[in-house]
Amino acid sequence: MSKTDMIITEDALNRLDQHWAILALGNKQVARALDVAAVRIMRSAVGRQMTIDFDETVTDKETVERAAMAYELAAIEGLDALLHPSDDVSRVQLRAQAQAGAFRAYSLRRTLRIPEMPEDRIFHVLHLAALAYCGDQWADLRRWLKDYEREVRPPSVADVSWDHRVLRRLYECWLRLLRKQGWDDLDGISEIIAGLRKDQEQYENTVLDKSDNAAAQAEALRLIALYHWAKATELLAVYILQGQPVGIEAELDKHFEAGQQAASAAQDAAFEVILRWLHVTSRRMVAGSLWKVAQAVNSRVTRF
Amino acid sequence: MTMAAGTEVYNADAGPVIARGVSYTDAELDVALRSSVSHILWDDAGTAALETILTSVVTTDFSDQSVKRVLSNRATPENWRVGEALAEAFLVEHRSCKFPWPSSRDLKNPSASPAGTDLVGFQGKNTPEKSYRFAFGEVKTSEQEEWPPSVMDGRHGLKKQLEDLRDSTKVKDSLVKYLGHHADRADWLPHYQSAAARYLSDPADVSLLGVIVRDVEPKPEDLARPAKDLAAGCPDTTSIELRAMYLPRKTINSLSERAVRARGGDYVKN
Repeated sequence: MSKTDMIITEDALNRLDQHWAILALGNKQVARALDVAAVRIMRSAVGRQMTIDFDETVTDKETVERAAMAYELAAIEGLDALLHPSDDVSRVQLRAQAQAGAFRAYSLRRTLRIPEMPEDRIFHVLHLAALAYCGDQWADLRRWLKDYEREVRPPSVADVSWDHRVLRRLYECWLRLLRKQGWDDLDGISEIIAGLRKDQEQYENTVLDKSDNAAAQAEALRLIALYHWAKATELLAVYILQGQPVGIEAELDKHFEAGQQAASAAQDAAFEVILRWLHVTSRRMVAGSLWKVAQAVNSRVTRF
Repeated sequence: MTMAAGTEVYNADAGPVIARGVSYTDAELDVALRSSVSHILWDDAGTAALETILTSVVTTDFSDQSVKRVLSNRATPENWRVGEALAEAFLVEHRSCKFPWPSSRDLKNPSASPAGTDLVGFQGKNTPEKSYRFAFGEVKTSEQEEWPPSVMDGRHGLKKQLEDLRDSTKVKDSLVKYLGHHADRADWLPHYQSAAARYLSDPADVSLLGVIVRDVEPKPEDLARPAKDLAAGCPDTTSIELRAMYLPRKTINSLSERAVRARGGDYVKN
């Protein structure tokens, strides 16, 4: 089995329940959150065909959110091990912790309401998608995206500032990467990003011309983070379509890390965090791509 | 300790909320600007990182012309940033707080990040097990001859910011996760784990700190009503402290200049 294969074992889930964050929350709270989420998923699957005898209380929303947060903290601890796999025993355990934590956090967060405000919605969906990829739930995510097609639709770019325009267009690109509706859908990503490069000259200065120098500099850094994210997205889409460049991992690392650094310097915590998650997601997409699978098969055949 | 605690000039405590006004002499301010504040304000690591970020833009195939123009403008820190650094120095040296990042990393982003506070870090508790909890701080600097100044009220005012932190987990959750992403191998990892465990067990178990930096006559009206409002509905496990730091009269508008002089730097006027 390769170092990057994803299998969430019962053992990993049991170990996860001994993590300090889960213990701090308490068994009762965790059990209630998992029950609530399971019933919500069941209800959305069976609709009105079956009545499930389970009443939610006013505190359940918060209980689910807190449990998802505890599992996410456990996942965050192991993200680096997931990004840079090794055979070291402690790193293998951390990787399993990250996968199991992301799996649990995803199964809880997918039952939460999708925010209505466009930017909140974008961050919510991307965050959920990242948890799904890290927790080996990408197939379930595709179904979720289909079920909520209308709610997750990209917001309009008309009359929004340049930074929001870039953010919304990149969100559209990522929806294409996540829903995997065919080659044409993926092919459109490069066009969207080329379009942004063309629009830059026309719109960029409108957000950078500010009287407050500190605010202008923060905006510039935020744009730099967005440009790195755009480049990484473009490279990822081309790789998924064509299997090139061969050293895609290093390219993704370079752009996501530079993007995180710029978002951090802009003191935009939420943006930096989403870039960290998407970095790992992009690497999971590459690892699970046809090209990597073919590469692994070919290497075995050569050895044979 | 180079940041003085100041001389208490009034007590406006309301229920569980501690609200004190303290004054500073010019000599005390001078010492702080030359030492504690200087360490916070001049973030050399942040400046070096900025250079690297700037040179990376060209690899994205977007034009770097405009962002380069904006980021190459080396300006003096605004007066409010110096005020914020004074507040941070006080909390670190007199309230057992530890903030992983300087509050005044070269920039502030007032619009892009809804999830943010001026200061986020940890506060040590005087318990036998030496535990920590999260500390969230908001700072305002005002030379307005009104008591309280307008920065205390309104949608983005200090009182509303603290009320949101008291009542909602949205911002706190986001910052706790953000710290989690940076905790690996950090010297504050044990602080983080201690604070996060307390927070998960009880999201109200946090310390909220609100500081206003002033250079007008000290009056309890600056803090009395906000303290009363914040006390209403304050959970038992949340601690709230308000502090008004009164600098010598008419000094706020020269804070930046004095900070630059104390540094002996070459920054140009904004």
